[in-house]
Amino acid sequence: MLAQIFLRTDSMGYYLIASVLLLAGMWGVFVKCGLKGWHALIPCVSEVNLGLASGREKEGRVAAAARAVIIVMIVIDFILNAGANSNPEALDRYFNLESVIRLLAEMVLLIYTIRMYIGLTEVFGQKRRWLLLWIPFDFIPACMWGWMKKYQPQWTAEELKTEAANYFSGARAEVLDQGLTVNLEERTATEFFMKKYLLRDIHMYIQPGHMVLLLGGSGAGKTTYLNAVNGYEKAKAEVVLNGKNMYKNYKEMQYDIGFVPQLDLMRGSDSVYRTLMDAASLRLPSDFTKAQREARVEEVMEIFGLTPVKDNLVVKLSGGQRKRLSIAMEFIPNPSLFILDEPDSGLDGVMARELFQQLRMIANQGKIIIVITHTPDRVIDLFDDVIVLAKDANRTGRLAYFGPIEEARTFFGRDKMEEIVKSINRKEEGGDGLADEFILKYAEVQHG
Amino acid sequence: MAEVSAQKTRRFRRIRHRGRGSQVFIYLGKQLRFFINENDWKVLPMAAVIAALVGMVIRKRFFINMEGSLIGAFALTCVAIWNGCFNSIQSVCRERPIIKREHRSGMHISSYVLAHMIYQLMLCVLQTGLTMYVLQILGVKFPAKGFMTPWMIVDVGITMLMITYASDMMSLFLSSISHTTTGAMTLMPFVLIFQLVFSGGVIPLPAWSQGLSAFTISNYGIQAIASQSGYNEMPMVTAWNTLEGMKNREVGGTVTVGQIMDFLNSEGVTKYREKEVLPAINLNELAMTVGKEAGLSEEGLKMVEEGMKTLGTPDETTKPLRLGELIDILNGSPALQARKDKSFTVKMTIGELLDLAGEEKVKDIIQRATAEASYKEEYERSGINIAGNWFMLGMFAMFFALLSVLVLEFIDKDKR
Repeated sequence: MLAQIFLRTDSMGYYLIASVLLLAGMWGVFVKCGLKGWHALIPCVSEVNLGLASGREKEGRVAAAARAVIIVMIVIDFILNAGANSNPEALDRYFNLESVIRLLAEMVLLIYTIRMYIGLTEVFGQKRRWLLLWIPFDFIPACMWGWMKKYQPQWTAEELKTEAANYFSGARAEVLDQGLTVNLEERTATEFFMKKYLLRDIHMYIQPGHMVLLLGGSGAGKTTYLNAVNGYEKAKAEVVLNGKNMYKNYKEMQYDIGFVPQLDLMRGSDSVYRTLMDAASLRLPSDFTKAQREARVEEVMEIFGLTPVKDNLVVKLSGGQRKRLSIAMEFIPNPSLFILDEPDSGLDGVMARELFQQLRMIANQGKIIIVITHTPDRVIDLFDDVIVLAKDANRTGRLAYFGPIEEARTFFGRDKMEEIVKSINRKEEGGDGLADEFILKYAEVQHG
Repeated sequence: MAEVSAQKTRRFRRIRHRGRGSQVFIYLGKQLRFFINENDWKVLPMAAVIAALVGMVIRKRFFINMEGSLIGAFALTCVAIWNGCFNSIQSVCRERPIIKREHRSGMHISSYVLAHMIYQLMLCVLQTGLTMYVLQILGVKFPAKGFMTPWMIVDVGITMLMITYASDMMSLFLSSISHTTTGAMTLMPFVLIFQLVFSGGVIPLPAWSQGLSAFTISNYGIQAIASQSGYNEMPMVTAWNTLEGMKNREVGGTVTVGQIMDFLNSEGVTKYREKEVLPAINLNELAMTVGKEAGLSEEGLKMVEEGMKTLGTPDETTKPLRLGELIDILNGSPALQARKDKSFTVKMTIGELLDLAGEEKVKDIIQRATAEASYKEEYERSGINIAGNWFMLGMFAMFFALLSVLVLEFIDKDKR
């Protein structure tokens, strides 16, 4: 379609030749990517397969839906044009409406196809400038990448069926009166009519008073895991905190869990004191008097060093102060489980260490603290355990390790935590691509 | 035993947290601090500026004639919708992640939305007050007596408040379904266009789309203001103004006697054959009337009377002359028949024609006839009409507020 615009041609001959070449090229691309080549010949299926080949599944399904709409419109057009024209006015109104819908569908198809072409350049390890050719004359690069040996994908859809991806430990962590037990079977999400596994087969028991590091590459499901653990986004799982099932008693227990998000989500127009007082009003039990609430806020401000800035507006605080305020808000109800998503982002080494020391202090009071951080090695001595999540070949988050820090070093054969992350990251992400190996190894350890 | 029971009670005692009512005050406080610290107050001067711009355009015509009142109603509705939309279009989406965090910490969505409703109502009251004040100082002449209240300015003010608040709540809903401020601002023009185009007041709608008006706030707003302004009791001036503007335009042309005769004998004229063109007259009385109109003295009038007697004019009333008789006379006139091809030029200005027919009389007829043709039942000045529109606007506000609560209840499902 775009080629027609570029070349300003309505030639049916050109259109036919370009279409045949595109189909032939896509056939080759699909085969190289481990898919069925003849799927390129079937409208809609071709888009879904292009999505799979380019690592953009959602885009593929949306493009297929847009293609389906266009096809339906064409069929209706054909039927209406062939039939008796009994109500020309209504027909005219329909054609006007149809033109708008078709235009929208064409636009969606175009945008999502471009997105898939971008994905294809990544899969084939080619430069983005190829898009200049893909977008107007897609049949040319399709034939080149489909049939020339020089162009090979870096990974294929076939590779997704690995042993690790389909091996599950079947283990279950024990449930005790104290501490946190997580037995997560699966956490799924439906994206454009397709079920997707975000997390699978994660089982662990964390003792009270332990500070746990959560490691994993980007997209491994760390935040999804934390949300599943704190009951905010429920999974097919059993999560028990101090003997109580979190999912069954969520309303009651939500105040016993502090979750500090990655971003500092606070209103800039409030003062530090007001922010904490409002947090106290929301999070503390209603039988707390105003004086008790004020006392608790004063205490928390003292712990996190916020007393000197208590009257400052949040918008005027430094990055470190904001982070501490964000943590203080969650600490007000004195939760048993404290989860922090990258609390040290944007902090320098000294400030980050100070912050983690405060967290260690909190853990020492018998609380469980789980922390995601991308710079763990500067504070690793403060942690007790580490959870390592990794993407398996199906791109599902899996448990690659859980246990003490020292044993983790032995398990992965790496001294530093950042090296462990590198080892499980995919090759195209600059890692060693050993995720499946460690997932399988740990699953076998759990299985016994 | 008692100890065990106490332990059991302790174990199963449910810890209560702040209820919905007290959470409303927490969020109301936040909104007010936002108003002071985050420039939310700027919507107030903005409302005054918008009111001034619109007021300058409508001040001479509002409450004066039909068109002025309808355009005024439309313009004021636009002002109210605009103010309402801008008040809250970003209010939820700009802090969506914060709401999500607070919801996780026990915030009730209904409390949050109710706090917004109260805060936005306060904003709308202030904006409406400012708008009405600006309109008044710009010289919009509100009739002294109102229909629903003793003052018309209060009547219109209530309607403006209802429109602003309904739009505000609609905008709150848009903000609740948008994940980003960009998304909300992209959505708003579509909604505004829909509200203005499908209001059904000023822009004529094709038959198939007229039903859509029932789903617009603007429709009820325009109806309420037009009713309050007494739209149906006013003259319509457009047709007369157009004619008056053409006063200096010359009309006329060259015609032959034959063409005039053909016209008189055409079907269009023939149907008026029974119409009187000359009433029944008494020539003596006529002469005396003309004499009096001409300002003749008693003596002069006597001389006319004597003159008429001298001429032997019969003192009796003639039969009225009908158009058909006149045409027959003209058709039978050999002199006219002989001059059938003779042409002559007639040239006249519209002003002269109006003078001939009586300008005031024509003006009255045109204004009355066009006003009758433009009568709209929904703009009738009645308590039921106005209260009905207020009720609908209130329903819109409640409906959108409820929708906002419903969609925000699903905020946890947001994709990260």
